Amino acid sequence: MELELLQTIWFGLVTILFIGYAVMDGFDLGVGMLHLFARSEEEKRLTMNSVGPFWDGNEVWLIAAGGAVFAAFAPVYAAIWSGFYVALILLLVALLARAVAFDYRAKVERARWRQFFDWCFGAGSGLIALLLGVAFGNILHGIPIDARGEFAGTFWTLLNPYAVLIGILTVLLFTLHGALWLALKCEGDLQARMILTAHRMWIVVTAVYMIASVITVVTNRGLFTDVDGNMFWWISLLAVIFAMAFIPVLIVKRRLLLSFIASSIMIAGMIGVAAASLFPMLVPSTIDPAQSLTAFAHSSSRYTLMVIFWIALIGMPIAILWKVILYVSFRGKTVLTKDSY
Amino acid sequence: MVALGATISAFWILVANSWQQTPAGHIVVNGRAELVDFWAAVFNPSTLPRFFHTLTATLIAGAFFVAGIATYYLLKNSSHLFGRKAMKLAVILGLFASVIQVFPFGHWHGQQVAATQPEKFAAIMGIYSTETKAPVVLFAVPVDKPPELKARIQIPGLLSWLAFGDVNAPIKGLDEFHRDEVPPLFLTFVSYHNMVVLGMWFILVMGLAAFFLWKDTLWERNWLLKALLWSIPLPVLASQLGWIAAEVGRQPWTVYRLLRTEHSVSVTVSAETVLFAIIVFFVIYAAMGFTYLYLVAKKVKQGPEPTGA
Repeated sequence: MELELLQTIWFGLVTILFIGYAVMDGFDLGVGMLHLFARSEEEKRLTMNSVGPFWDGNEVWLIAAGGAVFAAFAPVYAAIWSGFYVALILLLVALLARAVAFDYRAKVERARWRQFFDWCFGAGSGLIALLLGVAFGNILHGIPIDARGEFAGTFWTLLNPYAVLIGILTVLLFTLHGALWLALKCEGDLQARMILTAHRMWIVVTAVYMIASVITVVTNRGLFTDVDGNMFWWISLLAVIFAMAFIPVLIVKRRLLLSFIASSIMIAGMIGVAAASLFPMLVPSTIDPAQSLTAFAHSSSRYTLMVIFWIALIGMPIAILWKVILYVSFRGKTVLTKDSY
Repeated sequence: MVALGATISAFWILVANSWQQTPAGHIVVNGRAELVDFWAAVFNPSTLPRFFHTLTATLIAGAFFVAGIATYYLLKNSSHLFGRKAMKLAVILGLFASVIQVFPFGHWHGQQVAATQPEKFAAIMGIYSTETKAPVVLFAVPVDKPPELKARIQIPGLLSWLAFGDVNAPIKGLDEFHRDEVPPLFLTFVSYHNMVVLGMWFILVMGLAAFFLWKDTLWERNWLLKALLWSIPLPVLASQLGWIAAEVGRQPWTVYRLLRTEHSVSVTVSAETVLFAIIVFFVIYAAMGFTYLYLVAKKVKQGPEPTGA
């Protein structure tokens, strides 16, 4: 296979892995944030157990996405993982807090103990969504990449208004996604409240997404110069528009599974639009566009891309098959048992 | 499935580490190592010995953990059914794993290090100048200036024989290498030797336990049961010591003879930031670790559920 084709394929695969992560872990992060608003111990356990069999598998998509960047675009990995170091440490702390909450919360029956892990779960989830959103905003907007291909800013460079806006959008988006999941997995009063939350969050998400889009178009004209002939860009954009429009209709008709699928498509579309706008850039440089990190100039060798392409070709179907089995086995409403979290 | 997943995961992590120790399957183009042979990189010279040595170490740790918990029940009630069953399994597996850990796996790993990383081999074995009939040093205190071993107790020729199958085979000493291309001597020597001492202890304890298990009198030997109980953390300690020997022994290289540690430092992340991260993780892991011990102790005291026994 030609080098350029492989580089394009890997740009696409990295995008797909990040989409997989956002769609999958997105809902359990949202559930984590909504967990803080659960009204009783039973509700808390229900929210937590609704994602119990799925959350850790969902997080693996992030590892897979990071691993794919490492293997396929090593210089990009080096620049980002070093440049975003402090943010990534915070992200890891949040991921740890959340993971430990699942394991430890139910093991001791004291109220203080459980409260503490409720916060680990809820605040951890919120922080993860926020940090990833901010990181994504920075990638979209571009960061100071110098002539050596290294990040030339600080942690505070990353907290610019645009990136923070994308961070907030991500938090809202995942809350909507999580509310739809809970509506699907729960019954009674909790379900009714989640449906209401989903309605409200849909309005907020739609409004913020539109504002963010306008700001992106105005401040980042460069992103949209080559998109006219890009089929993926148009498909993604249409997916966002249609999915976004159908979510409230589906909720009203109580087609909860379909509304969750629509919200998944919407998230996938949002990342798809962003990735297609960036292509072939992986990280635009705000110092000099010529110093941007791109799929064509900053990839691994042809042989490496070929090897990992085969690994992905074998590995991804297995991972997807396993996911399907998992979600089918744990379909239906969440039930609490003695061994639940 | 869990066991399979964990094993596969361990394999690939060890592949990465092994490649850093004994890189293979690559060429260097414009200062960048590029993969040219995937399988040569995966099965580089240290992958398999390291994999089996590490995997067996985890089995030993598991066996001692189970044996220790079983002991806890047996000390309270020597005819505890669950405790006896668990103990039998742990002792048989523990003795088997402890023995194969030394031979063939430890031996194999040692021979590989002797062949592929002679500086590391000299450092962990305490061979400071090249010699034939090189000894296995049983005990010594390494001092730095000048580098030498004080108070040595050794078996001459044994190391040459173990490493190359010939008592007259020369073992390269540290004097043959550039002063700034040898690893720190004290830490590598001390951690390696203590790991071996612990390895011998595991065989001894599990061997005795197996003997008395066969005689069916293990249940009355409280001293041995107590030794098993207190040995729970030792396999983990031995693993840590082994890793210290392996990783400090790789110094001053991040990738052996390709990339020095001082050249691998990130240009954008400051040392203070890294220190901060280490402290943060230390605190979190310590807190998590203690909570974990508390929960495990609680679970053990509760005892096994009737249906599970």
